[in-house]
Amino acid sequence: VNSSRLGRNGAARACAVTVGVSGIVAQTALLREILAQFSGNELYVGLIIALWIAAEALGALLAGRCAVIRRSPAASFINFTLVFSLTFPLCIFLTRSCKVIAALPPDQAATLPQVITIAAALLFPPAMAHGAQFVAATALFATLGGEPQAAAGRVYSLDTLGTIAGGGLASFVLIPWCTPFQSAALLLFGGGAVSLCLRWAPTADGRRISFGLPLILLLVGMLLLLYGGRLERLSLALQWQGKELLYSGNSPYQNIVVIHNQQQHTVYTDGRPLFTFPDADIEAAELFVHLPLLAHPAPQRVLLLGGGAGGLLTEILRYGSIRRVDYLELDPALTETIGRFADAASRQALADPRVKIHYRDVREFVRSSSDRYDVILIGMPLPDNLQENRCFSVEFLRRLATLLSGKGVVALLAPGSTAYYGPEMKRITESLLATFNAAFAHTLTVPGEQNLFLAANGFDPAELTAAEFAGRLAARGVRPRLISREHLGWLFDPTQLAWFHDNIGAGGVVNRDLEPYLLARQIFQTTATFSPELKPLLERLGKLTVTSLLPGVALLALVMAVVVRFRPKAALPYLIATSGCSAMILELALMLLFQLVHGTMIQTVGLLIALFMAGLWCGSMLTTAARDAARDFRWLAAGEAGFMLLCAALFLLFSASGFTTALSAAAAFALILPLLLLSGFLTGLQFPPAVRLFGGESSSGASSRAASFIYAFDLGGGCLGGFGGGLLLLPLLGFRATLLLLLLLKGGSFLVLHISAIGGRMKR
Amino acid sequence: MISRRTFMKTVCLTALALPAGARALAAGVAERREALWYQRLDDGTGRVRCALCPRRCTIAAGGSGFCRARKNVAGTLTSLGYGLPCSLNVDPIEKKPFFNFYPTTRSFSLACAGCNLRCRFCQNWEISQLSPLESRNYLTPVAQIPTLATAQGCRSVAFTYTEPTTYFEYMLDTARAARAKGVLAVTHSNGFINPEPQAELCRHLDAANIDLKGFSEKFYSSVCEGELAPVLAALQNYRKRGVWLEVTNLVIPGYNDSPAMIREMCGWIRQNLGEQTPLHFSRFFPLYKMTAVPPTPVKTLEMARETALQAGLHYPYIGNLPGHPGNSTYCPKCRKMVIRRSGFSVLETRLKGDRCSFCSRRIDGAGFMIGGMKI
Repeated sequence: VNSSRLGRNGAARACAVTVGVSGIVAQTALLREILAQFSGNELYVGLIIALWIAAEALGALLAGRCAVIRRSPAASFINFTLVFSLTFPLCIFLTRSCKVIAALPPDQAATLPQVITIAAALLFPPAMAHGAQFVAATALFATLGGEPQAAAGRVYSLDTLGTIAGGGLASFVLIPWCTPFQSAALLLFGGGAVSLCLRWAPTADGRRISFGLPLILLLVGMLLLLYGGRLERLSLALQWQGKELLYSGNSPYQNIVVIHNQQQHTVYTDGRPLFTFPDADIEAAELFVHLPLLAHPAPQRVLLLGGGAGGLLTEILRYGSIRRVDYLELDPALTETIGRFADAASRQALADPRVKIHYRDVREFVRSSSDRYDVILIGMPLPDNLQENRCFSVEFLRRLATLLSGKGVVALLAPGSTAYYGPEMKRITESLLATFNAAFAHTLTVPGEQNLFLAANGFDPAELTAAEFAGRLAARGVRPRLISREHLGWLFDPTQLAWFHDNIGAGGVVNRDLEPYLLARQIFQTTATFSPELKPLLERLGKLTVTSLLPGVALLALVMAVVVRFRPKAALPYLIATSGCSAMILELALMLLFQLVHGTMIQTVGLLIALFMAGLWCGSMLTTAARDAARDFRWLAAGEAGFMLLCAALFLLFSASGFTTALSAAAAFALILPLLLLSGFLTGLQFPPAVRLFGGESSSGASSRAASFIYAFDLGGGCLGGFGGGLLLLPLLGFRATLLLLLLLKGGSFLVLHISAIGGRMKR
Repeated sequence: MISRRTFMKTVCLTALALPAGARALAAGVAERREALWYQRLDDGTGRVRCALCPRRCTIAAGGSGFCRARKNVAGTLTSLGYGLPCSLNVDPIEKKPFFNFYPTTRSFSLACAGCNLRCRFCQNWEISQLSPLESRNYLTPVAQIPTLATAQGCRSVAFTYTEPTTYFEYMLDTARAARAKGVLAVTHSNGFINPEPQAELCRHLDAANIDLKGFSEKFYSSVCEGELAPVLAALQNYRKRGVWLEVTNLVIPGYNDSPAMIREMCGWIRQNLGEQTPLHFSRFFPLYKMTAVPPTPVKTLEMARETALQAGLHYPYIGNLPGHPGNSTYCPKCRKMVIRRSGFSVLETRLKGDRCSFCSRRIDGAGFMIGGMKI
């Protein structure tokens, strides 16, 4: 009896871990595919994760109401595993072919509503099945005897462990080395193996599981392994309709594709064209390189932050005075691909002995460098996410200024216009100008279809005339294709400058590390471009302030305070949802803070998420065993107090001026990592007691229903936090205001919890 | 307790679930100018039918046309952009692009918001896909424009950036006023206009650059929400009425770049508009909604230019590719370079007046004598 009990336990544990692993593997793979198909930005990442979590929550809710799951949990688990494992590869295929199916043009941006509809249709089947798997695993644990109430907590923590492991597996093994169909085959094998274990582990009702379904899982996995290559080629051909695909692959950072057309190679990253060989965007490259190099009397050392392969390096190396170019690129796979597919001149430039390529995070490089540069070119596109915004903040630019030599100059090329500035473009350009002005003594804007910002501390670039630029060009013997005496005359034409300053005022909002205004406007601009029907909504969202949100949060608490007088249990989903939401935002804020200080590589992001999840696991393990309702209440209250203290502490920390640049890397480790662990811990701590209090002292059936219900709220809150917090609150309101909002949110739920007095009532 | 349905809805829609409120419009101090070219429908509904462009929108009282620039105000069609340009700037005329018309001169460029097409590659979508009621505008009466233009050293006024047809009345009055002061009037348009208003416009216009966006009805309907036939008719009318005409074709890989289509287009231009018609093949870069289309390969542009030369066109150009030999003008007779350009800058000329300095063949176009050219 003991050994079979042990077998059952082991099999159930394996099931719970598999749920975690397969969920994160499928989620990351589908996220990549949808991003590449729709040329998505951070908004899409948030959206996709939100949809996935919402579908999981729905799946868990529906499964929680299913009596059959409680009767035969093992068979149900295998059924859901089958549905999940089969829909996942199908979804990969459908994602790649969805534009053909929906008759959308292959290389044009879809509107946001179109993307939401398609992504929801694609994600819901596997994600719902995955949510149901969680419930079935809980039921499986509940049938093992012992304490039914503890089952949810145990599955929760094992699932978390699986997610940590799966995250590592996906980032470092599956994505760089396997096609998504091979990953799907792996999940099928995993599901099949776990199902077979369940076959051998006797169930509570004594009935054995048939061999059929596990064998189907293994068989389909085998077929996918055999024919995955063909599926990969077929699906890619459908995705890149009519284009000649030379290369497609994934690095830990992005999806990279190379297209051939009429002796031209175009490198795409995440579905967007990045570099074209042999003829780059000459106008942009020449403007961006020659003006800054001409602004310096004799440039020798150049720091190039990204974008080098797009013709920039070749232009820089035309100057005989150049001794060294430090070129930063995060992704080695990108330069490797460029090395394979670029024209001879670009390859030569990459291999030039004066060029040193650093595969490092820009911010981290700039923080640790003590070199001096004559020209620094910020070659990255304007920020699409918080991580990129770190390289456009006033704190970063100030640090950059310390790397300049006496007559050194920093340059940035950003989208502009010679006809009209729409409201968002105006805000973005004004913010850039204000940020440069705040970081440098002198900033010159050369306006055009693209605006060139030239900033310096040692001299005023605005004192240079078109004639001086032209004179230096002639003296240095460089003959660009576009930049000439005549063209310079137009660039510096007084009417152009007057027009620009007539449109772009000096009162822009400075972009900061912890108040990433530029990012918020960029996200709004992109969304409004592709979905103009959302413009009025975006205008309203853009006006959100902390004072306009605080009454809403307070009102919610007030309403809940009234509701719990009649239905005390309502406090629990409210509490768990607000905790899920707060934890997600805190996790984001802490991760970003860590990146700000320490600089990031994808490995550290993995480490941070793992740390948060580890905290979650510890928290849930701690409270899984407790059983007394009064004690459960105290756990919940402690969690609430912990959240409030954490928010308050971070608020104070973020208020210390200049600390994002002052903090050393070691201090970042010492300070932020424990805080991340803590925020995970607080989230994990609350889940098991909430489930127990919600389910009451009842059967295992009620317990698994309660688990699924509370789990759905946990996910829903997390999804709101990830999407609303990451996209709206942190960028738009800034970190401090967001923390203030969270403090009030958790303060409200803390009060509501006490008003409900739920632990005490249960006891009576 | 929050109902489960509400909860799910919140989760799914998150930020998008917020109610969309009334849009605050930046209402300009519009001069209520009655539109030309429309009829009132005598069915008691107060509707009108616009006759300006081939869409012939029927517009209900209070409604606007497809172009967003013409509104039915109580049974009277109003031209919303009149006197309210959203763009006013000075450009080199080569930027329009005009390469055979008053080269190296400055052009006073203006636009009012609105367009009667919906090209997914629009360069100026920020204003073309907007109503003059929504854009930030400069209140600029017609009479001011020639004065402003001459003060800025401009030889011409250009109606550009958006679709000038949508602010037809303002364009017409401005062109008339400009010419009265000796300033030329030029337009860059999509040519999607009806013959009758076009005839009226031609009387006051010196030059037109018309986009021939692709040479198939399918391209026009699927990428621009327009039609090809009316554009071809407009091109022929410009030619017939003696307005100097240049044609621009933006070559988009995979959409309008097939050799057969380009050959057919060049043949049609040669036959219907004449060999002297400059044809600008412009390089495409990912833009607006066409974000994943790669830039046009240079080989494609060179093939297109070669095709045009073979079809007998004298002045095919390659644009948006600075430094390419296709930026320059060549003598149709001796094939020698007579105007060397990079981008829109003229770097060198080999002309004697309006003639090739090598073989004395006249270079088609106008205004080669002025503008401080080195002759």
